[in-house]
Amino acid sequence: MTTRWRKLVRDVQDAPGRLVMIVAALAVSLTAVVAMLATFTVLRREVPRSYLASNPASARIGLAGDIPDDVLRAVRARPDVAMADVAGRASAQLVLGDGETLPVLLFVVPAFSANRVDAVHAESTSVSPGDGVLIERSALALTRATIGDSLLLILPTGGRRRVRIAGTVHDPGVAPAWQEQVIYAYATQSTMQGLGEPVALNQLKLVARDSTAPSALIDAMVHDITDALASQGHAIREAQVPPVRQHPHQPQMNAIIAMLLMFSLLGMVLGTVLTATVISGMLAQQVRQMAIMKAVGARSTQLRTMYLALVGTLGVVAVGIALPLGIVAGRGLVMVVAKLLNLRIESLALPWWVFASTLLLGIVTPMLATLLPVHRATRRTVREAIDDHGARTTSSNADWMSTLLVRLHIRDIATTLAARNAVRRPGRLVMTAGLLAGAGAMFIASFDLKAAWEEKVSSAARDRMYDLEIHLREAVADSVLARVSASLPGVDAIENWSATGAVRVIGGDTSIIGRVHADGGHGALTFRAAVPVTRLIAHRMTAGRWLQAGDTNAVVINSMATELIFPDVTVGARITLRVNDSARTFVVVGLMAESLTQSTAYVTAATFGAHTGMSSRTSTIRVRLRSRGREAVATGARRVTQALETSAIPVRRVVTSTRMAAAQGGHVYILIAALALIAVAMAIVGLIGLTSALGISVLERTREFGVMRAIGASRAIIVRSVLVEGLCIALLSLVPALIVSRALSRVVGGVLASVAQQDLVLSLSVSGVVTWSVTLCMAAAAVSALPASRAAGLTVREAITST
Amino acid sequence: MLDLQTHDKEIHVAEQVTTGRLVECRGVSRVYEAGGERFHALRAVSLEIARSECVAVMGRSGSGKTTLINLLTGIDSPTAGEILVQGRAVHGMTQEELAVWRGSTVGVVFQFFQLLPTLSVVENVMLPMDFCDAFPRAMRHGRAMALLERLGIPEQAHKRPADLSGGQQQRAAIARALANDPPLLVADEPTGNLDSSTAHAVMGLLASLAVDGKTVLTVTHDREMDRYFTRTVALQDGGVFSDTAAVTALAS
Ligand SMILES: Nc1ncnc2c1ncn2[C@@H]1O[C@H](COP(=O)(O)OP(=O)(O)O)[C@@H](O)[C@H]1O
Ligand SMILES: [Mg+2]
Repeated sequence: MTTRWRKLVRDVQDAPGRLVMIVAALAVSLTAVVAMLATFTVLRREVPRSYLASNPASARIGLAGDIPDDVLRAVRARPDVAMADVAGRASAQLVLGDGETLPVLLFVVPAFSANRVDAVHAESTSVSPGDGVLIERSALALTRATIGDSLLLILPTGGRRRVRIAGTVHDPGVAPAWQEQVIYAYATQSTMQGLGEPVALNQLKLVARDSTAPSALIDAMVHDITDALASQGHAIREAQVPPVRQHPHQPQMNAIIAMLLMFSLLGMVLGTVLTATVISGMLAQQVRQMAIMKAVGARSTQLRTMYLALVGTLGVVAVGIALPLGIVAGRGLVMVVAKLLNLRIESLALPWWVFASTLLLGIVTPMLATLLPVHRATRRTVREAIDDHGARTTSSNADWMSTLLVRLHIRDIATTLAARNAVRRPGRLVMTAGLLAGAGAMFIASFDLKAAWEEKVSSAARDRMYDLEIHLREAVADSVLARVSASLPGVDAIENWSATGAVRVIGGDTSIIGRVHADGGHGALTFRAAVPVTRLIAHRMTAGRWLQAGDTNAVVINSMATELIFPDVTVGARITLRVNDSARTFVVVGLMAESLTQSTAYVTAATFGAHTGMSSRTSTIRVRLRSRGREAVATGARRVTQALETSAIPVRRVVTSTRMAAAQGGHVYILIAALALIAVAMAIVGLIGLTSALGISVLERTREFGVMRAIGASRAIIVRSVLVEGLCIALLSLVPALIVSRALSRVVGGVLASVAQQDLVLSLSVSGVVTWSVTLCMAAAAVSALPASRAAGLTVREAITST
Repeated sequence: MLDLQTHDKEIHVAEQVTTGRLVECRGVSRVYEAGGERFHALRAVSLEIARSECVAVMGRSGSGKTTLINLLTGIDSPTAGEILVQGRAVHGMTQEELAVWRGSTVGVVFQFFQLLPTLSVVENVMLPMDFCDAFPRAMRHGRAMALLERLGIPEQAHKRPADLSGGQQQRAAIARALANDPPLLVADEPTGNLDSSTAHAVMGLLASLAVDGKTVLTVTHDREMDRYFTRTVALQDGGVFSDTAAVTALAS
């Protein structure tokens, strides 16, 4: 090894601290980038893969009764059909230990082994449930049971039967159960027969030969099939052509992926800035030595090569640390998202380009960051470097700082000196404050989002002025209900809010094609009777008006329906809905803001009755109780149910406000927590930057400190001087943090809104700003302590003769 | 005093033509601009230095000594005038050319020694050879050790600079300045940080190098050092105040 390389190695051995800091800084930001990239690539690959592996139906055609074998055979024989299966769907209820019930969506097939379309993936056993049912894995926790236990079900016709959980499956076509508060269960027809409850296998599911064909082609094929079936005398109830090859959560996935990409980009930028900061810190220390080497004959290229090699090596070490850490973190993140959206991840393998770009980023970025300061240091004349006495000319930006301090009545010289020093090197100040600002912006934005989401949840709770939604087994005459409700215990108000499913009919009222996904939920629309003068919901209109008593074909659609099903619709538009097998046209009279509520179209009770054959009858009631606490609602639910049943009004299901809140609740917090976590990582990055900047500053001010000590400054004054400098930088970062946080919370808020399919009202969270400011100042003081004590520990002689 | 002659063969002091000019300054000025004000640190200085001279540059603090020295070594460049060393125009060179030129032509000794703290003394001496690729790699260590021996500190070779006394550090710095065997040696107050007897030893050493054929230029403001020099140039307010040949230079 030649002497110059030995010098570098010796430098590393002698002062490993700063280099450790560079490696740490690089490693932290690289880890974040790797984690984001890993999540991004795995999700983008695995989501379509697991979804497409289930052969999602290109179309589902519903007949009135069982699909006859010859129909199935004929459809399978079509050249444009790759595969076809029959299936059935039924609703049941699960009775939990405390008597509470949960809805169960039963998917029934002739045999799992033969079922290819909308196939589920066995998680725990082979797909042969015997006499039991399979439960969607995300629903298992909701059942409060495990595999092998039996569940008490209220079957579609009302019978109570115990059914064993034979195993769990993953169904890529449904939303996570805890999100919908619905149990997805899978059974064979023979199991259902064994329970005495055969389900009509009335759905024909098919996968088009050309599975990538556009919707229009599939629509045409479906029309062709339904026309043929109709001509054979079969009654067609519905036909659904869901978005082609698109996972029900694809829009949310896209939003999350976009956010991850944005964070990756941000991480790269900040990582580069941090790297540049710490490296220029190291180089600042080496300026004098570079000058000496130049004085004894070193060429700039030789010096450049030395320092580039050093930094490159640090980059390699950082990559070595960051890759495994980032991969682990990325896998964790993938798992969080997978749980959030109930995705099955088969392989966590990363493509080669993730490794390649990490290597590139980890090595080339710091080298680029090194080039400029080394260039500057080697370009500086030897005289400047050797003569550098630390006290460089103060620029005018230092003057406004002293003016400010005078205004603030801070006339202490040491403090003024420190504040001036903070702005002495504008480039470094910008980088350090920039890092802290980035972290602060993230932090504040995560608080904004949390506040916005909480506001959403509580506004949903405020708008919902009822405590129970009771689904009756059969529609009851309004007169009967009115008589009974007068005697219901503890009830403050009761209204008819009957509902049924509806499908938007696209392309004229002769069409029967909808866009609903396999779970019957995504893309589905609730058609609901509403009370014009209601005491039970607060209807906030975003356009048009609420329903009036005399309305006949008026409809009001809520936020999610507007967003997902009627994005093209405005007040005054005509829409066609298929309700109870017939298509009807309505006029949209209003758009209504309704938080965290599924897509719903509201009509008057009279209109509802006219279209559903339930005139003057009610199938769903909403109840407000006199006492409304959590416990009171649970008791109220039991007592009202009992009272109804003793009045010969059997209840299918009671949904309490507590459960609605749970369904609307927390899962989005995972995303917000992830954001806060990223903010913490960024804060660490920022503080490393601050520590490094202060370290350099102390180094540069060594002589100044010596002089101060020589003329009688106490240790405390020196310590305070460094602390104040750190605090000044931290404080200066707050304003840009605030500004950037506005943009960030808007962007991430948009993502969150798309994930939750809700509009979010974002405003600056004061508690976020305060928390961040206080934390930042305390952390800045803490990281200033080390350089401060180093500065205070210098003797006058050391300080003045320092090289 | 060291006996330099005995080391001649090992150290390979380049054959020097002992006549003619080595350094030539023509109307050299250096103006500093600070805070919008122009300050003339050197005003039209003209000076010729012949080979093997041992020149003292004297003058009060602020008279422009360091400025002059820095111009000669190319560490700083003049605002006006020409500086020729061995006939080459130093003032016209780029930083890159200066670095290469300095490595082969001029050895610089600083007041505060300026040894690299993380290298041992012998490694510090080897460093210029490394940068300029001046001697075959295998020879460098031997040459550095020989230089240290000549300067009387061979036993300090493997210590770090911080473990040496001031005098020892300055000797090491002189050894480093000699590493590439340059014809010109320039020192700015090399004894400013040393006690009187060490200062004399170091100055004697520099003088003996001149005897050996090096051209030595040293800044000092110690009148007692007169006897080591063949010539004394005194500066005042940036101009040459006097330029006198020594009556009896000790080394001659
Ligand atoms: N970089 C500089 N900027 C402004 N003035 C300078 C600078 N360097 C030196 N001077 C001034 O030039 C004059 C000569 O300086 P110098 O050559 O260092 O003097 P000496 O070495 O004789 O003490 C001094 O008055 C000094 O203040
Ligand atoms: Mg001087």
